[in-house]
Formats: sequence, C-alpha cells, structure tokens
Amino acid sequence: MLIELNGISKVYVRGTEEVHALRSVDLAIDDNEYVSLMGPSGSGKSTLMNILGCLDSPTEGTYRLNGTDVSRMNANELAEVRNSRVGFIFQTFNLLPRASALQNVELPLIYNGQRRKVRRARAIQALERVGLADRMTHRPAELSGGQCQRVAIARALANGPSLLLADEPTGNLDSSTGEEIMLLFDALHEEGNTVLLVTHDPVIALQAERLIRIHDGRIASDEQLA
Amino acid sequence: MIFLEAIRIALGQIWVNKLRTALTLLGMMIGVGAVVGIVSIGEGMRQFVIDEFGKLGGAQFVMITPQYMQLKDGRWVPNPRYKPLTMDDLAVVEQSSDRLAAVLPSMNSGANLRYRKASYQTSAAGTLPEFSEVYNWEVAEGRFLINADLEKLRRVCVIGQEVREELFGLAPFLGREVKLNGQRFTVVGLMEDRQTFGENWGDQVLVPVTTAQRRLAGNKYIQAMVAHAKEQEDVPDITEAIEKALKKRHGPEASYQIVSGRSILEQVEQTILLLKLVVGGIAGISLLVGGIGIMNILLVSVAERTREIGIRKALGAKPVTLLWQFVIEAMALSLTGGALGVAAGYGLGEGIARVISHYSELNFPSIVSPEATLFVLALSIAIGLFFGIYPAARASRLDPVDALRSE
Repeated sequence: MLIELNGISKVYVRGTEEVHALRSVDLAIDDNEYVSLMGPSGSGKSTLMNILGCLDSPTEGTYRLNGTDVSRMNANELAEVRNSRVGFIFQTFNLLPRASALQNVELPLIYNGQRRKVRRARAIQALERVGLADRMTHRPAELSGGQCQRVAIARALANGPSLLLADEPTGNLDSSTGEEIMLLFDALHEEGNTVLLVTHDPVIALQAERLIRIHDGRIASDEQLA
Repeated sequence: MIFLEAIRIALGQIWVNKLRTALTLLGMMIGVGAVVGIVSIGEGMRQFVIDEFGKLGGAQFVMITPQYMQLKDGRWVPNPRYKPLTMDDLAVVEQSSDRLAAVLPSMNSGANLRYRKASYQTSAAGTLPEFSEVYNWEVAEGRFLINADLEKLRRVCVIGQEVREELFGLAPFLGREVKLNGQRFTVVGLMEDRQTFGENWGDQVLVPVTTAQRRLAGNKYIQAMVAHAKEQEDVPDITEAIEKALKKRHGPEASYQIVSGRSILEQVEQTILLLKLVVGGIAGISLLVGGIGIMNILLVSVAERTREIGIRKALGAKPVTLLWQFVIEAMALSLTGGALGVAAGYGLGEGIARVISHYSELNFPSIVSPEATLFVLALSIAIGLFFGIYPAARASRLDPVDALRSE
C-alpha cells in the first residue's frame, strides 16, 4: 500500500473559531493507482492534498507513506519526504521566474544533494520526457502556459517520486492545452506512476480510474471508474 | 553542494536588484570606509611621529635638566636645591654607563648675526663635534666642529641654510667672518637642509660649547644635556645609571629632571591609540547603520520572495538550507560593501594625508596595514551574519502552505 490514512483530522484555529477541515478521514491508495479527488471549495480537499504531500501535518491520526509514518515527522524529515517521494504540480505552475526551464527542473535535484553532472543529465531526461527538449534554456515568461505546466511536471518527475500530486493542473489552461496535459498524465500513469488529481472539473476527474468525493471534511464517496 | 548552490542563488539575487543592492552596499561602504580612513590616518600619525622622532635622535635620548623651579602648594617657586650643570657633570654622565653613544650639552643663547649690511636674529647653540653624528645631520659644505675648536676655544661657527641665505645670499661664505653678538666668528661650515615636525633647522648657528660658555654666556654652565643610548631597550637602565651618578656627585638632595624620549614616545603612542579607538568607535556606529540597512533589505527580500520560499520548501528545501541561503546573501552584501569600504577608506585616508601634507608642508603618510584590512573584512562578514540571521530565520520558519498561497 502506497498511502494509508487512519483517522486523519485537521483543526485550524481561525480567530476564536475552530475550523474542522478534515474529520477522521480513512483512505488507502495503492501503487500505480490513478485517483481523482473532487469536492467543492471549503470541503477540505486542499487540506487533504497538503497532508498527502507532506506540506502540512494532521492534528490527529496517522499517515503512512510507503509504510513510513510521516504524520509525526519534523520539518527537516518532511522536507526530505517532499523532495524524494512527492512530485507537486500546481495550478499556477509555481516555477521560479528568473530560472530557465532546465534550472527549474534541477531544483529538487539540488535539494537532494545530487552532483552537478547527475542532476543536469536527469533534468534533461525529464524535460525530454515531457517533450520540451528544445525549450530548456527558456524562462517561464518565454513559454506558453502548457509548456510551463510541462516544465512543472518534469520538475515533479525529476527525483522519481512515489506519488505525483497535481492540484488543478489544467485550471489555468485553455481546453485543448488542458487535454494535452491530461494525455501526459495518462501516459505517466501507464508508465507506472501513481497519480492523484485534485480538481473540481468533472470532465477531468472522470479521466482517472478512481474517483473520491470529499464533502465537509469527510469522504462522501469512493468509486472505481471504468 | 547545497552550500555552493546557496552562494550561487544569493549572488544571483544580489545581481537582480541592482539599485537596491547598490544602495545597501553604499551604506556598508560608508561605514567601513570611515573606520578604515580614520585608522589609516591614526596609523600614519603614529608612523610620522616615530619617523620624526628618529631624526631627533629617536627614542634613544635621555634629557637631563636641573630643576630650577619647583611646584610648591600649587605654585611654581625657585627650587632651593637647584644646582646648575657644568661640562664636568657631562663627563660624569658620560662615564655612568657604557651603553651610551654620546652625551651632548644643550647650551643656547640669543644671537644677533651681522655680515656687512645684512643681519639675522636667531639663537646660537654650543655643542660638541658628536652633534652631527647623533642627529644624523651632515655638513653640506666646509666642515663640522672639531675637538681642536673646543680645546682652543676657537671663535668658529657652522651655519644652517637659512642663516646663509639671509646673510650671504649667493655670495661665498666659507672662511668669512660674521659678527655674533658683536664678536667676530669665522664660518667654517654649512649644514644640509633639514626639517622635523615641519620645523626648519636652517636657522641654526652651531659653535663650540666651550666658546659659547666663555664668549656668549660668560659662565661655565650648560642649560641641559642630552644622553643618547646605543639601543632603545637600554634607556630605562641608562636613566637609572645617570640619576645615580648625579646623586653620587651632588648628594642625594640634588634634583634633576630626567626625561627619556622613550617615555615621551610611549605617551604619544598611547594618545594616538586612544584617539584611534574613540574616533574609530564613533565611525563604527556607522557600520552598525550599514548592518541595519542589510537587515532591512533582507526583510524586504524575504517578504517579496515568500512564494519562492514556498516553492523551494515544496520541492524539498530544508529550513537550514533556506537559512543559509539568506545568511549567505547577507554576508555577500556585507563583505562586498566591506571590500568597497576598504578601498574607499584607503582613498579617504590617502586624501586626508595629502591635504594635511599640502597645508602643513609635512610629509604625512596614511597607512592601511594588511592586518587592519583583514580585520575589517572579517568584521564585515560578522556584521552580515549578525544582521542576516533574523531575516533568514524568518524565511526558514515560513509555513510552506501559507508561503505557497502568498502572492
């Protein structure tokens, strides 16, 4: 089992009010699954995604990633997990604007302590995988939205993560570019990657093999598609 | 590896905001420049005093004067135990230690010089043939005083450049007779040009001390004497030996003032050190201002780059890695500013030294030692570290979720 959530709760204190973003969520995702996570805003899906991506820690419950309990890890250990196990893909791409495509892809390899030669080779390989071999020296401003998202995907792939975590990956793209990106996710899944898509677009969500709906901090439904 | 990367990122960041960087560097540069400039002037002043002292016979001299007056109940009154010095005393002092190079009398009297229609008012100094060697002051033409002049009480004199100019102009002077206080003296030599502490030695008229006593003062006394040690380290021992010898000769009651050049030099050095510390300390405050400027700019930088910090954290940057990234950025700023400041301070010191030299006609140096340069650079790095650590810690402690959400 790749992901095992047991009784995960997350409580924020906003002013004097307690916000229960997640209420005792149990969830298991296997290797090489292709999962969509849907829910309206405020449903807790962002919180769940942050916890799954080790950007945030749960208030209660345990989270095992590849069999390791990550729910009680400190900031340094979480950084290592994010670096080597998780590949993030964001709606707004989150590329460093002053760095070239290649330098952006190299970033997680730098934090992984890779030597210059190795990281250059692996970054080039990742960019070739997403079809951007000819755009490596371009900066994000010189690339189209679809190309930026490809760079972001290459960056997510760089360290060979166990989990690709995509948050509204087509949200900032026109529909035809969005479809291209979805085809890329399909292909990455075919190659053996575990993909988790967070979205509120049903068309996108239905491309996955499993659809989880979340509502009011609880899992409302969990169904296998196709 | 990550460390090198942090340096690269920091330098890149510094380069991106050129104007902002330039202004921050300027703040640091002014602070460091002020400190370096002041220290270099202070060091130059010290060197200047030591050099000029060297021309006066250096710190090796010990001056002995009879105490004519003494301080009693807050007023200066004649000293009842006053005992004038004679050439016999000088002989005694000469015998007091074998580490003495020479003992010279000090015997000055007002002198009115006349040659034909020209006249010149100065003072004549009675001295010994050793004078030239002790003060390292050579004759330019003719000869210096010799022992025979003293033994025979010859009325001869050696004159300075200014005396020659005033009395003779360009006319020949060697062997000519001048009138010194109405008595005829033959000019036998001309001293070379010389200045110390900006004072011209050219107005001097040197005569045999014995002639000065007999012809000019009319008594057998000398006003003071100056003993010169062979080595500076011997000065305290020699001072003691002279005091002992004089007490032995004149009884324990005899009171003489014995001052060594070494003690004067030590006092001067202490004064200059104090000056350097006080003024340098005041200038150091501007270094603090420079440091605060760095802190300010880093806080702005952290705020502006919150999202970038979030991205880096999401990709696996550890808190300590980000801490280093910003601390290195601060240190790179402060070190660059410091290096520019050293250059500016060097220029400032050099400029001030030239202005002083120009207006005072002294040869006043400005000195920046390698030790001082290294110290200031190390201090600059320390300032970067000190003022960079807080903004850096703020960056490293940012919550990745919040940081990613910021615009």
